Amino acid sequence: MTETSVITMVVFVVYILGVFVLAGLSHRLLSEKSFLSEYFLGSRGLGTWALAFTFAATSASGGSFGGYPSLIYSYGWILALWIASYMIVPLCTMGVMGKRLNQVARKTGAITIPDVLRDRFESPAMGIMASGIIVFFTVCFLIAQFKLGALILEDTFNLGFAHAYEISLLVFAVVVVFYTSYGGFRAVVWTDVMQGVVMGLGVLVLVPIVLHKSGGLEKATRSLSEQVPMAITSVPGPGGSKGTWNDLVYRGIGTALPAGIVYTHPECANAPLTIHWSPGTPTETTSDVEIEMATDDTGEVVTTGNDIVQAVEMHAELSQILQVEFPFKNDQQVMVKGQRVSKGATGVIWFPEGKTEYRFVMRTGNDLIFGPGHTNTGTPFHTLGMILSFFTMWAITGMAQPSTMVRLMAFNESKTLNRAIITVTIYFALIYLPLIAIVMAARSVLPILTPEDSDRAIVLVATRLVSDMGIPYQILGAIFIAAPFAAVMSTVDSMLLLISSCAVRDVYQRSINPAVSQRTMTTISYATTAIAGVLITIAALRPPDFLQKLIIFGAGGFAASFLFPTLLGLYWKSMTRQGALAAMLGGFATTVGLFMPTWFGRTRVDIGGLHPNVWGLIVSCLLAVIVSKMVGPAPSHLVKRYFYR
Amino acid sequence: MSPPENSKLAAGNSNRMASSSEWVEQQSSLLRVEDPLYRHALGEAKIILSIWIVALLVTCTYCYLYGYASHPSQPSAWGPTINQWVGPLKSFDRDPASLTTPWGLGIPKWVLVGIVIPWSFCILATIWFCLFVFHDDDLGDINLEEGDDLVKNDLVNKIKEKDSTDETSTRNVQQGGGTLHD
Repeated sequence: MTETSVITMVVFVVYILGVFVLAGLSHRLLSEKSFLSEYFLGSRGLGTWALAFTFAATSASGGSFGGYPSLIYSYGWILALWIASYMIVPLCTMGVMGKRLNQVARKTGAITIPDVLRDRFESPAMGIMASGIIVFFTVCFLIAQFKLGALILEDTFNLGFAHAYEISLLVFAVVVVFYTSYGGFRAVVWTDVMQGVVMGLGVLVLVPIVLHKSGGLEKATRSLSEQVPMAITSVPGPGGSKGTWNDLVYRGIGTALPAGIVYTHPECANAPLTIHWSPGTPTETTSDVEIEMATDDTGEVVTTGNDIVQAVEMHAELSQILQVEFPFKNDQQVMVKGQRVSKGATGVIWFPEGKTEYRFVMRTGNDLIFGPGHTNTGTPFHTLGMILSFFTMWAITGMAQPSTMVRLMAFNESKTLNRAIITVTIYFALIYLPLIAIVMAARSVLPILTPEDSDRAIVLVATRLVSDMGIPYQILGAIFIAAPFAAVMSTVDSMLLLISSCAVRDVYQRSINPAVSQRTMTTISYATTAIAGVLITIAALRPPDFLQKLIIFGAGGFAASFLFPTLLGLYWKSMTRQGALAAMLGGFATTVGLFMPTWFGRTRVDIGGLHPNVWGLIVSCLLAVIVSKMVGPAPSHLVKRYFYR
Repeated sequence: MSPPENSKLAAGNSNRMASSSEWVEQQSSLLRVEDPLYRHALGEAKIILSIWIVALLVTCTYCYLYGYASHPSQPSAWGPTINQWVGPLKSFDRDPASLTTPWGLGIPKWVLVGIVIPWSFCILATIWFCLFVFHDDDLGDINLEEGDDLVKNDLVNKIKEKDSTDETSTRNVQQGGGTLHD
């Protein structure tokens, strides 16, 4: 084990011990106080720092330290625009509903968001439906977080053995499920404060290290803009799973470069590996290099990445203009006959039924400096529709995340909210903008990552850049590695508690057995948290490639389902139960419906170029208003109770 | 009149009575005082959403015009898009040579002007909002009838504490000592 690993391990162990100590202390409080309110809401006693950090840490999920840096790595400076609405996120997400939601929750004695909705509209159906939707999207959200938690452990401790991911996943799940179940909301809040400090400290510490190692942001930005065109081919291996040792990187080193690389399946038996390429004139850049795969007797492709490397290197013209390399994963060192050699692209390339080609574009450095950014298959990343969608998404969808809304029900007085908004605003500015600088500066000194591996970007930044520095720097690096881990844990614990509160409070206590004893309640709460943890661990064994996709789906689904029922329920006197139900169902169905093609390997439905999450919000809002107008007026006793003294 | 007609009439009457009583209640509720926290929170929400709209317009417009190498305007697989409506904007397409990074910060100018500076203004706007707009409202009491058993326990404990304090202070007063009450 290297020196870095020992230091990192010590920092990690200290951090985990800290989490357990906080859980233990919280559990003591739990046994002294009433279970439900303490376990799920921390007795509505959050002060400024606790509210600010638990809110920030819960919002800054694994996406902030995994998915977001991964996207910065892949698409460059355009991510500054992608995340830009975080400039206003704390004000919107805490300021618009915070005070009023807290007041209504106090008025009704609500402990959870479904509780609030059920009481506000006097509708048990609303409570059950809200709980179901929360569980559905939370599970999607958590699968992504569990994957990132496992990846961090795997990369941090250089676990190169078989099933390293699965074992890391198990360790992560056991740690997080244990302290969440044991300590409840207060443990989650306390650990959030600790994790929030670790995250902030981690980012601030890494900025000077990365800038120093990369020669400064100015140099990094310039060198990226002058980077030679490159195509990263990431193709599935047998069975369709990506990241199976067959990815390659094509670097353009000549003048008459191809527009892209195309892998084709000849769909006939015993075909040899052949390359078609017509350079054209030096000004033409529209032709592709077409690589036809070799097949066996049955017509199945037998070509590996290494076969392609050899074929390109032996090609008279292509060897002059293209250099083929291995990306990070295929570049890993393995021992062969006592010698360390690159693993290489030993995997066979696989074509699913009906697919005959994969095309990858050559991307220039300019693509990392200016918008819209392109995927490795050439699709524009951040179009105008997406700019508007994402600016809306973070600030507006952020308002209606049950895990953060429940925190707005837990602060003790208005002043607390006021101070927390300022704290979180400054905190987010210190995290999200510097993260772009960190990844952009580090990009030039990092190995090439495929989209499947780019979720590792931030961990590689921390481990690789400090590995040859002095021990104090290595300790700082280890703290930074703990930051994404902290971000993941702080989101996972809140979400696990959310699932548990839905099952225990909203479904069991309020719908099945109102007379349930506190002892039974305690047992069910622990059991639900543990069962949810186990199920999500199983689901995370085969997670999707880009974590951010799942996170955005979950966040958008929450907003489409909860924003207008809650927002209009708090501020619009004419909002009716039917309107709220229609808004919730309509928002849910729209978001899920528009995302559904992605589950079958197709593209998302972006009507008008806008993200499905925006359509979910639009449909939900229209249904809330139209249905409420149609069935109104709202019951006067509810109007009186919630809008008048 | 047949029995079904009778019951229909009765149902109609009761509906009318119910709706008229609801109407009366609604009117009387209008005469009641609106919850001040609701009124304040609504006004604050409007201001916040206005700040968000201004930020959206400034940042998205500037960055789309000055931060894009190309402004794709083709339809998507799902039909026409908002990009088509805006148009191709060829004259705004950036090329690598046009990259400028003011003050040697290494941040492209379009990011600095379109995002970093508006971000700074948003921080100032947030501080202004919290200091001068936000009302420090009373959040109200917690409903003790609907399951918040902890609060009940806490209150019971507080009352017990208060009672014991009262007893002590009464004893103190009786013994000629000071009182804990103002």
